[in-house]
Order: sequence, then structure tokens, then C-alpha cells
Amino acid sequence: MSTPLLEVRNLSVDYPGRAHWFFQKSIPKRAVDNVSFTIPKGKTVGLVGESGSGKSTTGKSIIRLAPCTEGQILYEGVDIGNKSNRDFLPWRKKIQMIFQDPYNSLDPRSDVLGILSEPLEIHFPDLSKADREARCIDLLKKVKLPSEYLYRYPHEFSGGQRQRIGIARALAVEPSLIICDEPVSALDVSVQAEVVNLLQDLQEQLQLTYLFIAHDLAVVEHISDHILVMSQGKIVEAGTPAQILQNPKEEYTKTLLAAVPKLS
Amino acid sequence: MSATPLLKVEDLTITFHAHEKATVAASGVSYELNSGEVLAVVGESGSGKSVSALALTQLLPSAPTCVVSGKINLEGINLLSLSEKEISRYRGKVIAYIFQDPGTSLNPVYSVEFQIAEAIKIHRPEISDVHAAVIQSLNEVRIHEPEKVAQQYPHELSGGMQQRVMIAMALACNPRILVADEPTTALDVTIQKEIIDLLAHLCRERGMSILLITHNFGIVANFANQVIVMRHGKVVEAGTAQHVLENPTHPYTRGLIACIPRLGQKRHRLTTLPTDLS
Ligand SMILES: Nc1ncnc2c1ncn2[C@@H]1O[C@H](COP(=O)(O)OP(=O)(O)OP(=O)(O)O)[C@@H](O)[C@H]1O
Ligand SMILES: Nc1ncnc2c1ncn2[C@@H]1O[C@H](COP(=O)(O)OP(=O)(O)OP(=O)(O)O)[C@@H](O)[C@H]1O
Ligand SMILES: [Mg+2]
Ligand SMILES: [Mg+2]
Repeated sequence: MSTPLLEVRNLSVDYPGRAHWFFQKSIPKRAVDNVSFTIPKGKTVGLVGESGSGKSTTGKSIIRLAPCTEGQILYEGVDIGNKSNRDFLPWRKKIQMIFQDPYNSLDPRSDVLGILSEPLEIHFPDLSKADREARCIDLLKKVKLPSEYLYRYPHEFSGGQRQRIGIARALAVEPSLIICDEPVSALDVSVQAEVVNLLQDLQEQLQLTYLFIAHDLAVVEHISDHILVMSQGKIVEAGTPAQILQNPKEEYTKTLLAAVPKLS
Repeated sequence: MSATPLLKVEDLTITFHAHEKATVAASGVSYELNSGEVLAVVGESGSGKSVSALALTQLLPSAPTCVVSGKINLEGINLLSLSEKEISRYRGKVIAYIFQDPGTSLNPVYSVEFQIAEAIKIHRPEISDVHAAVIQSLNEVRIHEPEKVAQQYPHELSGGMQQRVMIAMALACNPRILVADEPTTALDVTIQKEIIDLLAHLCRERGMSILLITHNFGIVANFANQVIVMRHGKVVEAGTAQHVLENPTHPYTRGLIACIPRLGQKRHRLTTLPTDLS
């Protein structure tokens, strides 16, 4: 068997607690507790689970926005979870994240050209200004936004438009692994379908690998090769979409399926 | 059902002037919201759903950046003609918002308890035990360990927890009209269902009306009385939720309903709108 693109081994993440006036010493909060999974190259692993169960934290720890308190994060067999920030640099370009909150993740003082150019300047310093701009226009096209939006600022966009800019930014540096944290939750069903199809097309063309966090079970079923169910920091169930959706073992998974609103 | 229109929006038109051109974000939008009812607004991203809702209490940038025309009638008063001082009395108490953008409602430097307590003190001065009311409101939105979460700051909460805190804050105002802009996007279906049940309960108990912006047709089907469909700033279809979902007449609505991914019907590709429509 070949090495998977990503292997997470016994990952635990603690957030530092605030010092309490009475207890004095702060008690850290364990948000992710002994989690292990792998993602083969070119595949999609879906991550579902109740709110606050540690899905975003798991994703963030892979790109070091959350600490890797215990365990290992292996990218093509190399432990990147325990590297210093400086040694991690080569992986910054390979792993990108589409954030759950499209509002806080875009710099309000920068127009779209600036937002999309910044990662290009860092990771492709040889591009000319004109080439960079052409790439930015191309990225907007990919996420179905007109090129005139290049000079607009984040506050001038609707929620769904902003989310698409976040997606364009993640695609800008041609990553191999994208952590998609609720990438389509803010989108109406028609744009959602287009973006999901786009992510799948890109996966085929560029052999992209996805960790796909979402609440919409129909979307997760559609896009995932394998699904993980999280509850209270732990993975409580894992399997193929068919196994999880047709034959759920865990009580939580069952309630989740039962609560999907029916159309008629 | 006795349907008295509480809020009547007529010919609402919103134009942004920026980058040396005018963008019409909403054009001739009209609808009625009845007491104790839920009006769902669905439609394409960027079709003007959020800006139309923000216009109700003059929350958009002022002229000349943004020009708003039309009438927004609430019990004989045109909200658009009120001064800033007058309209501010309506915000929260009469019309409360759950904003699409958590940053608009949650202040990063204050704890959850402080922010909900603030809303309670302003809008429900009769409540003496504010702390208990804060905890109760967190319980209502199904936050685990409410005592602990009350002491936390927004950045320490998960996306779904932030969203529920915003819902708790809006409900703490005890408004007559709740504008809920995509209130459950960050919530898994189990909590989503509980929140929707809670809102439905408040409609019945308090006679609260809800303007619900959503792209979730499951919620529309189970919760809304009326629905309007927006596209390119215009209302393209309106009617009772059941009627619009079962007999959509506008091709855009039909296309939209066909795009809904359905559980257990895994396909190679998701259905998108035909290109002559999108
Ligand atoms: N910066 C932080 N400091 C302290 N605690 C945090 C921080 N970020 C998250 N947490 C806590 O960690 C837990 C897991 O949060 P996380 O954001 O990973 O949840 P999630 O599964 O993504 O939920 P959601 O579906 O609501 O987005 C939550 O209890 C949250 O309050
Ligand atoms: N401050 C602003 N300045 C200029 N244009 C704006 C501004 N705010 C919104 N717009 C534009 O107005 C249009 C309508 O935006 P609105 O936020 O109402 O969309 P929406 O229907 O809520 O979409 P979504 O489902 O994506 O949230 C969009 O094209 C948006 O780009
Ligand atoms: Mg999250
Ligand atoms: Mg909106």
C-alpha cells in the first residue's frame, strides 16, 4: 500500500483555558481527543458531527491554526505537526483552507485583487504583475464571479459572493490538499451545486485531496469517498457513505439522519 | 387563518453608487408579512435578500452611497421616512436581526454573558435576575454547559455556537418581527431542527412574525407560511410555501428546486441551473 497523502495519528488538541479567579491555574480545554484518520491522494474524506465537536479544530490543526498538543500529522509520511513554524513553510503552499466564516477570513481593507494576489506574491514571486492579475481574473471565473469584482472590497459582497472569494483564494496557490470547512453552507442550492461540481472537476484535473467538513448530509454523501462522524472531540463512526447513511451504528448518526428535513 | 398584514413592503428599490457606477441591488420588491407568520425569502446568491432586509430599519450605508426608495409600512408608519433617532427605537425592540455575518452582531471584546445581558437590560427592563435570564436563553438555543459558554468570548466558540449566541441575543429583545438571515447555516440538522421548532413555538406563543432568509428548501417546506423567490433584485415568484414548492411557475424556481441535493440519490454530478437561466 502506498503512503496516504495525509495521515492523522492520535491527534489531540488543547486550547489554553483562561485563568479563573478561584482556581487560579487555567484549565486547558481538550477540543480534539485522540483522533486518527487517513486521506489517500486524490480522495475526499467527509467530516460531519454536532456543533462544537471539534471539526474546525481538527482542520485548523493541520495548517497550524490550532496547536497539535499530542499525536502526529503526517503529510506524505513526513510529520508536519511537530515542526517549527519556519520548517513548516514548504507545506504552507501545499495545504490550503477554505474557512467556515467568510467574514472574518477576508481582510476588509484589501480589495479582491489584493486578497487574491497576496498568496501569489508569496508563493509565485516570479509572476509579473500582469500575469498575476490575469490569474486573479481566471480564479474569479472559476468561482462564477465577474471580473469587474476584482476592485471591490469584502463589505460590498453578499454572503455567498464572499464565500466564493474565500474559495478562489484557497485555489490561487495550486495546493494539493484543501481543508474545506463548510465551503458551501452560505450558498444557495444552485451556486452550491456549481461549486461542488467545480471542486470535483478540479479534483479530477489536478488530483486534489479534500478534507470536507459540512452539515449537509446529502452534499457530504455526494462528494465523499469516506465519511467520519465526530462527537465531543472523538471520531465515533467511520465508513463509506453507503455504510454510514444506510447502516448507521452510532446513536448520534441515527438522530442526524432522522432530522434531515424532508421536502414534502 | 386570520392573516392581518403587520408589515407591508411596497416597491422597495435599493441602488448602490460605487466604483463610478450604479448597482441596483433590489428593484420593486413588494411583500406582506402577517402577524405570527413566517415569510421565507429564497433565491440566488447576490439577489438582494440581505440588503432588502437591512433596509427595514435603515441599516444600509446612507446616501449618496446607497439610495433606498419605496415604502415600508408598519402599522401606518412608513419606516423609510423616520429619522435616525426615531428608527433606532424600532431596532431590536420591534424588529430584531439575526445577521448573516456574525461579526455584525457579536462584539469580540465582550463575553457572551455581557452581550446577551445588555440586550435583556435594554429591551426587557422588568427582568430582575439578568444572569438567570442569560443562562435560560442559552439553554433555549441548546448550548451545552451554558454557565461556561457565558464566560467565553466569541472567538472561542465554534461556528455553530456563535450562530446560536446570535439567535439568543435577538430573541432576548423579545421582538415583534424577527429577521433571520440564514440563521442555521452553521448548525447540524439535529440542532437546526430544534432551533426551527423553538422559533415556530415563539411565533405561536408570542405572535412573533419572522422574515426568514434561507436557501434551505427543507426549512421552507416545514416552517414557512409564505415564500418569495428573488432573482437579480426582483421578486420572481410569490405564494404560500406549499404552492410554490409544489407548483413552481417561474422557470428559475423550477430550476432551483431541481438543484437541491437529496440524500440517498448519489449522482455523478449535482444538477445545476440550465445556462440560459444562470
Ligand atoms: N480559540 C479557542 N479557545 C478556546 N476554545 C475554543 C477555541 N476555538 C474553539 N474552541 C472550543 O473547542 C470546541 C470545538 O470547536 P470547533 O470550532 O472545532 O467545533 P466544530 O465541530 O467546528 O463546530 P461547528 O459545527 O459549530 O463549527 C468548542 O467547544 C469550542 O468552544
Ligand atoms: N455595501 C455594498 N456596496 C455595493 N454593493 C453591495 C453592497 N452590499 C451588497 N451589495 C451588492 O448588492 C447585491 C445584493 O446583495 P445581498 O447581500 O442582498 O445578496 P443576498 O441575496 O443576500 O445573497 P447571499 O445569498 O449570497 O447572501 C449583491 O450583488 C452585492 O454585491
Ligand atoms: Mg466549525
Ligand atoms: Mg445575504
